[in-house]
Amino acid sequence: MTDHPHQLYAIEFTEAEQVRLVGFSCGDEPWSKHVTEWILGSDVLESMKRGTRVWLFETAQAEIVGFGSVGTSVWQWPPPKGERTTIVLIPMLGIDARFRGQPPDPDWRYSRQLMSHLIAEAQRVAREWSGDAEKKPSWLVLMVHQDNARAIHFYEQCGFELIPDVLRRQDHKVMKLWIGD
Amino acid sequence: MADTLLPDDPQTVQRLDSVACLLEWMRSMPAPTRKRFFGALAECSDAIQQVVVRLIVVVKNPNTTPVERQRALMTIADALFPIADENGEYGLDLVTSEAGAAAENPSLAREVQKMDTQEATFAQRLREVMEAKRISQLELADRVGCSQPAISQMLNRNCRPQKKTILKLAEALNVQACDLWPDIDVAEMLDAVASFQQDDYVMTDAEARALSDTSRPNRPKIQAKSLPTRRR
Ligand SMILES: CC(C)(COP(=O)(O)OP(=O)(O)OC[C@H]1O[C@@H](n2cnc3c(N)ncnc32)[C@H](O)[C@@H]1OP(=O)(O)O)[C@@H](O)C(=O)NCCC(=O)NCCS
Repeated sequence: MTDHPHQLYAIEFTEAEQVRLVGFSCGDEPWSKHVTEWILGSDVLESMKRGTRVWLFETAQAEIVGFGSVGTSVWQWPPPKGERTTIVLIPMLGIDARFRGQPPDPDWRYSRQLMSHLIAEAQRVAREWSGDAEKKPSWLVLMVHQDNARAIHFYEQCGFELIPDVLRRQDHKVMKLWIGD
Repeated sequence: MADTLLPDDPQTVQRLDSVACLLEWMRSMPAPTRKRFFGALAECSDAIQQVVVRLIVVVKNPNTTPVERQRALMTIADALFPIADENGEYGLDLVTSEAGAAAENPSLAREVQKMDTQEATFAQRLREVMEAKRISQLELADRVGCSQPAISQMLNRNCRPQKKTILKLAEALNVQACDLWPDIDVAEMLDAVASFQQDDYVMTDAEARALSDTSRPNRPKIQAKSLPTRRR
């Protein structure tokens, strides 16, 4: 059985992979440039040191379409509660500008294949949780520039919802998706 | 007394480690292969040499998986032997089995030189300004209130400076921030991403409200399925 021509493959990212990303670019919008810089520079390696898993996504012809990541972070409820809770998050994801909106067939759209993988991996983190049962993570969150309408539209199509009244760094929204039972 | 002969900053120790790896690896090669390898390495630009030395550490690391090792070897072959010789050979005996895929992208080595990140540009510019103004790492560290190894880490692209560090460096060197880091907004966005992942972040009330409300769980609207993995 041969795979569909638009099937993407996930490759676990390591530092050695970085040289393969020469020429990779997520676009020149003010909210896209740092996405490219994140995967090509030190930030991805720093994030991996904190337990983040990162994948490159490539076609059957080994063209790199994009990358994505899943990590965790321990947040605190505001006082007086103040307890800690583990949040699963997508520190960063991006698709090479040449592959945006590709292929036209929505069933095989690269962006959706990529997110399908990230959500499955986030669900795995929750499922394989070994800490206190009542502290099992149940949200997947990500941060997106408020003017990045394309990305927000895409995340909403995948099921994410904007958290109202929250802005990080003055201009970034936070979105959440339920990955609990 | 002997202490002074031993480097103590982690940066130098790490570099010596990787050079030791390289020498060990070269010693294991048959003499003609070693010659060719050394010749190719000597002809490379600094940037490619750095990449090769880094990858050799990956190759020699006992925790490296076979797939990672193979990929690193392939990249080394590709970087050192970008153009097939008259026999159509790409790499060394050591790497020929892995070099097949390198043939797909013979220009990679040349492109590595251009590895175009703001972080790389920053490291280069910082080095240039320091040389032009004859400021040592120690002196600069002193002026911005950080350690000399921290400066060395930045010059070697092992660590991205935060926006506030770029601003301090610019002030200390009496240049514009954008003369060091091309687009300061990019650095600030990366800082924001890093802080999003920071532990012990105290949620705002709005975040706490949204994340404590489990009555209306918005589930994925697409099927969640891990993609097939593949070896190159
Ligand atoms: C965000 C990203 C991963 C999405 O991938 P993509 O291939 O562009 O996404 P798609 O084309 O499948 O989906 C985008 C949807 O938004 C729509 N859209 C495009 N521009 C839009 C806009 N300005 N406003 C609203 N919707 C828009 C598209 O029509 C599409 O919807 P459709 O499938 O119903 O036609 C990709 O664009 C990217 O990497 N961008 C740059 C980096 C980035 O922003 N990363 C995210 C950081 S949080």
